[in-house]
Amino acid sequence: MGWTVVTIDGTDSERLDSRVSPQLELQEHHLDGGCTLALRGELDMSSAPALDATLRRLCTDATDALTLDLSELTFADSTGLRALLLAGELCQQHACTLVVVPGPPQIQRLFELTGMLGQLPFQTDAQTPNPAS
Amino acid sequence: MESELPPPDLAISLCPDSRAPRAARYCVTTIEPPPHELRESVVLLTSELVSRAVRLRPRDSHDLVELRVWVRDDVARVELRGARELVCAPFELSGTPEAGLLLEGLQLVEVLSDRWSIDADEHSACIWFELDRHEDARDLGAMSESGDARGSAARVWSVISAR
Repeated sequence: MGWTVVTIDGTDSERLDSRVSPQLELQEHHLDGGCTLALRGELDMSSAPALDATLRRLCTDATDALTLDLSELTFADSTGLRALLLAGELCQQHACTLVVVPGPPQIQRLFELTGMLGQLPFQTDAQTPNPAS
Repeated sequence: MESELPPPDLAISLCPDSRAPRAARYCVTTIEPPPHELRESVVLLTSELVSRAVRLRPRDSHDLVELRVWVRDDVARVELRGARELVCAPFELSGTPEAGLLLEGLQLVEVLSDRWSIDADEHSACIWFELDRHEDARDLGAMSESGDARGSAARVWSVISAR
């Protein structure tokens, strides 16, 4: 019984990128000295540098508060988790208030598994804005 | 599972560049029939192994790595084969596996998998892990709540945050 080895080189990876959704989209929303950064997609060693650069640009002394919205983050590995930890470090350095909107269950489970759940200030249900009010 | 391996459900060769982890994850999710509830862990740990190979890759290396995946009703097995320097960290080559484990991105493999190892000869090596399908649907969620994972989780965080 035979099986086929498929080789995926750099060109194939580019084709793959064009077939599937963009790896990571970062959306910024600025309001009154605060900023919300929404992450959509997958966070790994390929996309973490973009998040790193964006966080370093946003987390300055001019930013009072940063909200990191992980609700549309579909995947993160240990490289991605390290990139997310950077947000906490940068906000601490610049006296910037950080709030993290939790991700989907698979993302939150990874935080739990690695013991990082308490290391970032996740928004609780009580802090979630009520759209009816 | 290792002693009587059937043909793999997936076998791909990857250029270990920064896009390889995502390519590997995508391919793993195409396995038919779809992996059971261990899927999340298989995808995550596959990403960890391929990312590790990318980090270990010497600048002048053009070697590929080969990913093989087996998914059965009771167990999933993932292997990554390649040149020894792509699979074994210098720490592991020098015979101090604990240092290699802590420094070279195997923390989640240690916590989540039921078995893992690195098999190496003079020129090539294979790192593999296996995940058993437990009745209590052991996956990321179940592991994070289990008592035996807590100590390991604390160690994982201390390593991840120190990088």
